[in-house]
Amino acid sequence: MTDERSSTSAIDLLRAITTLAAKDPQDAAAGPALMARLERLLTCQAVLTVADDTLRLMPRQVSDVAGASTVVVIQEQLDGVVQAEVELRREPEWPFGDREVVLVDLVRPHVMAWLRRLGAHGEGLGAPAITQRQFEILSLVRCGLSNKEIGRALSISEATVRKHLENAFERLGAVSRAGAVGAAFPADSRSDEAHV
Amino acid sequence: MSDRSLTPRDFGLLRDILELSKPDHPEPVQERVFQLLEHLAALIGCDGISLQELDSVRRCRTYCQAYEDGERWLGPPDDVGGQDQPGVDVFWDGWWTSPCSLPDRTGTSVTASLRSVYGEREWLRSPLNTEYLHVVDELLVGYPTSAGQSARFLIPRDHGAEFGHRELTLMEGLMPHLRPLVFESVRPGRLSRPRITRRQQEILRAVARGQTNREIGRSLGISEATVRKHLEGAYQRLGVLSRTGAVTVMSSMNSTA
Repeated sequence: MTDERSSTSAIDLLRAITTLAAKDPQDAAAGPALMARLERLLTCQAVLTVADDTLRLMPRQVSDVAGASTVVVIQEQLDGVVQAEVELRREPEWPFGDREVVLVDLVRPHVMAWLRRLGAHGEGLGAPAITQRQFEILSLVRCGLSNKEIGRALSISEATVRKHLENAFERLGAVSRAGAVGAAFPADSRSDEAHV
Repeated sequence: MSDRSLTPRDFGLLRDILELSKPDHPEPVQERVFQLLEHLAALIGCDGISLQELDSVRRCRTYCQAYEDGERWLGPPDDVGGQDQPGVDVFWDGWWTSPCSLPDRTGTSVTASLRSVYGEREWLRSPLNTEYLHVVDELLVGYPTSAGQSARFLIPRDHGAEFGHRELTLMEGLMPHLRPLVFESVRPGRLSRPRITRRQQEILRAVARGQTNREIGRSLGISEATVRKHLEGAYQRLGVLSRTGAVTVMSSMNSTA
């Protein structure tokens, strides 16, 4: 416990990690900030590596790190190719304990989702190019609600609903309600996956 | 103070919860969910906990598995969910503006508590509370499962303090882990159930591209009336009311195929 500030508990660090991991990985400050929180939470060194044309990353056994392990790797693979990884390392004489094993397990999918987006360079994230409000209204369209019903449900006027939809259609390049829903929700479960 | 730190007991519970959530766990799904509910209740501290699926269009509950006061409870599969429970109309009338519909509105997994949305006085006066829920706070971890349907862990507290930083952080951390088990229990193979003809599929794909009935008819060499007839048949089989509903059901079927 070399660097444990009393003000920063495991819960605070977990919160910081899940929040940072949900952010845009193209933000240059996000990577170092995320690594710093992982280092604090797990009292170890955290190194982020992103594969590119000159650097290939090898798939490594990453699951079930129980026992006296000093290296834990969180990797994100796409079609068998490792896109990016975080290596967590401790000194040989001081292996990870049960506590850290649980914590790594807990943060793993969050960090993996972040690595996935980092590796994808922000492409095809299932995040449509429409505003949150437009998305919300399209969700209700998707449930089969009419503009009038949507207006009533959200306490806004029917004209406002129509305006939001017109803008959404334009951004999505859609000409009909059904077309817009098809474009905004290309594959329900997958767009959800991209966020978790 | 204990609000910010994790005790050895917390770590034990977390380890068991992560273990139960693993896709290759040997126990049957229903048993795992019950064990999961018990563990989550112990970790979070609450008066009962349930896994439910709600349908915002038909305004009903399509799945319910609960743990309360040491008792396990499994709702019938097609339960029309507390339909005669007092205040349920208030709940559904306010649905689209309440935090309960967040997974449906945002299309993503969500962790939220009522009291992180409502202030104390606001909550005490809210009809959702006074007419229906009657709780101090409720924690929601929700996953959209289909158009207007979402599965959710509902974790109410009848007395004591509202949920804080600790509970929200833990459930948010666990949210992606619990997802596979939620889907396995709430809709085992349900997405692939509706059977529609090849012609109906062809027409629905054209609808999803934004084509009108007339355009579809022209490209397939059939009349507009026939297109309409095919669509009516498809709506009935898919159990939807509109073109949009049909497209959504189709897209969720394709994505899991």
